[in-house]
This record gives sequence, C-alpha cells and structure tokens, in this order.
Amino acid sequence: MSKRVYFLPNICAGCEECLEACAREHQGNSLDYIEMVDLYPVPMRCFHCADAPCAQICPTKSIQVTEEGAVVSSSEKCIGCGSCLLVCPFGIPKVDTTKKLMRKCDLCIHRLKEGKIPSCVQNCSLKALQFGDVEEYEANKRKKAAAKLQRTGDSAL
Amino acid sequence: MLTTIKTVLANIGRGPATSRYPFVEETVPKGFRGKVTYDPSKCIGCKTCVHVCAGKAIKIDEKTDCFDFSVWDGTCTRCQMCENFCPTGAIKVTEEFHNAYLAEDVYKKAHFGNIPYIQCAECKKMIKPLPEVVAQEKLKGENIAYKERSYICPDCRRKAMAKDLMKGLAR
Amino acid sequence: MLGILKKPLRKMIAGSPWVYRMNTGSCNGCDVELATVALCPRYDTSRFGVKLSGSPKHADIVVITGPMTIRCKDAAYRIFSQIPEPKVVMTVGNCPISGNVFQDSYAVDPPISKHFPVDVSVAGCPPSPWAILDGFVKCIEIWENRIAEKLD
Repeated sequence: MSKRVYFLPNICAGCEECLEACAREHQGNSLDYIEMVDLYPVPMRCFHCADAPCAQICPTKSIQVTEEGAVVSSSEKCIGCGSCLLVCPFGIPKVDTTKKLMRKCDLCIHRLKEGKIPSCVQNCSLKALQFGDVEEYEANKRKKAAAKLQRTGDSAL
Repeated sequence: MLTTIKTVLANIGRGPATSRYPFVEETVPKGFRGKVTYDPSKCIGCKTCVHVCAGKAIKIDEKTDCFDFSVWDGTCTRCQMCENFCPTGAIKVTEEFHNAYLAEDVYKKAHFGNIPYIQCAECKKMIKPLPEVVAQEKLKGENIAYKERSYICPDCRRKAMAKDLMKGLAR
Repeated sequence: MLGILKKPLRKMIAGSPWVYRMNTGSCNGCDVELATVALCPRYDTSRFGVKLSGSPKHADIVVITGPMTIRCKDAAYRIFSQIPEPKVVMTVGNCPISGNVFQDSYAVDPPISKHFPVDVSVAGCPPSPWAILDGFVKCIEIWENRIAEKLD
C-alpha cells in the first residue's frame, strides 16, 4: 500500500513542464524522461520496484528501499560503476562518468517528509500526472466499470 | 662460563639458521601482498580501479567494439586498493613473490584482458555487457523482466516499456 | 700456457663479487630489505661470495635503489663513472623501473635505464628478500659470463 506517480494516458501533451520542475528541484538536470510512442508522449520515471534489481546488484549497497517504498541511492556510497544501469529492465538510471555518481528519480523524498507531493506532479499543467496509491486507482476503475455494467448491461466498455 | 657452554651447545643442536633458498622452495606468510591477477569474465569496466591505483599501474582503453585492460607489474605498489574497491571481484592480489627479471623483460610483465561489447538487438549500438557470473551471483529470484531485456541497450529498453504502457492503457 | 689456467681463474674471480650500494633518493624501504638480505644469517647472501664493499673502486655488482632525484644526479653520475669495468648493474624496487608513486613529480627523473645501463631489475615495493636473492643469483651468472669474455 504505497504511493507512486502514475500518468493518465491521452492527457499528456508533451509540454515537458515536469522535466523542468524536476531539474529545478534537483539542482540541474532532470531525472525523468518523456518517450514518444507513435505521436503519443509518455512520461517515464523510476518505477520504484518492490523487488528492485538495482538494489540487489549495487556493490556498495548504496541503493536502498525506504519505508515509503521509494528506491533511493545515497550519493556518499555510490561509486558510479553503472551496474544498476546495466541491470534495470527499463533503462532508467543516469550515470555521470566524470562525477562518478548515479542519479534517478527519488520520489522527492525530501518533499514527502514535509507532507508535500512530488515536484513533477505539482507542476503538471494538465493534471496528467497523479500521485497516489495505485490500488486505489484500480479500485476506482473497477467501481466505475461495475456501475456502467449495471446501468447498461454492456460487457464491452 | 657454564651458561655460555650451555647456550653454545643448544645452538649447535638446533642446526644452521640459514635457509638454502634457491635450491629449496620457500613460502611467504599468509596474507602477503604479491602480484595482481585479473579475471576478464567479471569486469564491468567501471574504472574504479584506475581511479584508486596508487602507482597508476592500471589502464583501461575503451575502443569502438571492446575495451582493453592492462596492469603493469613494474609500477604496482601492491597496496591492494584495487581489490578492495572492485565492485565485482575481478581483480585479486595473489601471494606471488618471484619478481627478479632481466632488465629488458620487465616491460613485458603486464596482464592483459580484452572484453568485447555486445550489440543492441534494436538500434545496433555497442553497449557494455553485464557479466553472466555477476548477475547470477547477486540477483535473486526470477528476474524475468531483466532477462527479456538484457539484449538491448537502456534507451531501447525505455522505448519498449513506453510502448507496453501505451498498449495496456490507451484505447 | 695461460689457456690451462683460464677455467680455474674464471671460477676464482667470479666466486666473490663485491657489491656497492647506491641510493638515488629512495624511501629506504628497499634499502632495509637489502640490509636483511646481505647481513642477516637467515637469507645469507655471503654463501654466494657476496660482500658489501666500502668503496666504488672495488665494486663488481652495483645495486641501485630509488628514482633518480634531480638533486643527486650529479653525484650519482660522478660515482658511477668511478666504478671500473666489467660490472653488473642491478636495480631493486619499482622506483628505478618507473618512478612508482612519484611518477609525476617535478623532483625525479625516472627510469634509471635512461641514465645507466641496467642488467637485472627486481620489481616489488619493496621486493621480498627471496626475490632480491633471486636477483643476486641472476647477477652472478651474468658476472661469470662477463669475466669469461674478458679472459678470452
């Protein structure tokens, strides 16, 4: 039961305001991506896997899973070896070979502790990014589908 | 006078203290730091050893389709920092101490290793592979998501995941 | 007449090479290992006939340690020119081979093979006394060959 950033499809326009907000929050470069799939922009960031392979393979144990469920890398222990980039199935970590550090989305842990929501979610102008429990979102979808079924008797949505 | 005679007799009984080295093999104490060996099947090319080497003995030369590794015995201080910091255990310090060479041979005493890159199945870019040995040792569980995508580069992995997301959600 | 005496002469002359030690700016680690090799009864190089010599004019084997520091270059050249032929030059440690950790310093000028002709190098920092003994054995083989050439 942990919160993640998820995006509502067909709303994102590719304005990249989330990338700029992330860069402002994290001193310089943005930690997120926007990929184009057949003219549809898809915003992507670290998925904060529950059984993160990057945390398993990190040789200095710099990547840890926190109690909020976020996968965070500590900049003191990281040696920039790039193993996490090689093993991530989604290709998310950004490895800076000159500074020997890895940077990726950390779910704005410092803002979560103050009770705020992540910076990209707050600054999305079209509200395409939401911050919440994925199970609640799925439960809402199921409720809406059940209500529609009852109303129309139609199994195809 | 008596103690002197006793000491002398005891020493004679103990035998000579000299070890007849080149004609008899000798060993060094456990934990002695001798020459450095290298296992190319575990190297990920992170260059941490190059960064910490005290005598600048290690060189990693990145080329278009492989990278070359070399460590020269003539500058290695045997400080063991490379073994300490190597993330996968590819460099190890042995107990080898036979180091006397003719002067022109000392420039050939280096370890070399060559690790070829693999080609991304989609965009044909050359990427560094994650060694099989390291993946088996550290990753627990099935890790099907990683195994399916281990043949393509990180950029193509992101594009593949974006396609999957849109397939599931968009109508 | 001299032909019959050559073989026993060769064995007699090559049987006792005298060693002269030159320290061109070393940290003394290799010199400490040399002291244990040459003097200590456990390793005992004097069973090969090796003895430390006080003067460069009586030396047969020259042992050099340290990277060549700029400050002692003149003195090193002057002393080396006083050592008579034939001689064998051995370097001990990594500093004479490449400068080791002092490579990029403004005060050193490695390697020693740039200044003097070197025959045997013992690598290590510092090398183990067993390795220095191996080096001495190699030097003595080369020394015998050079004496044989001179007699012929």
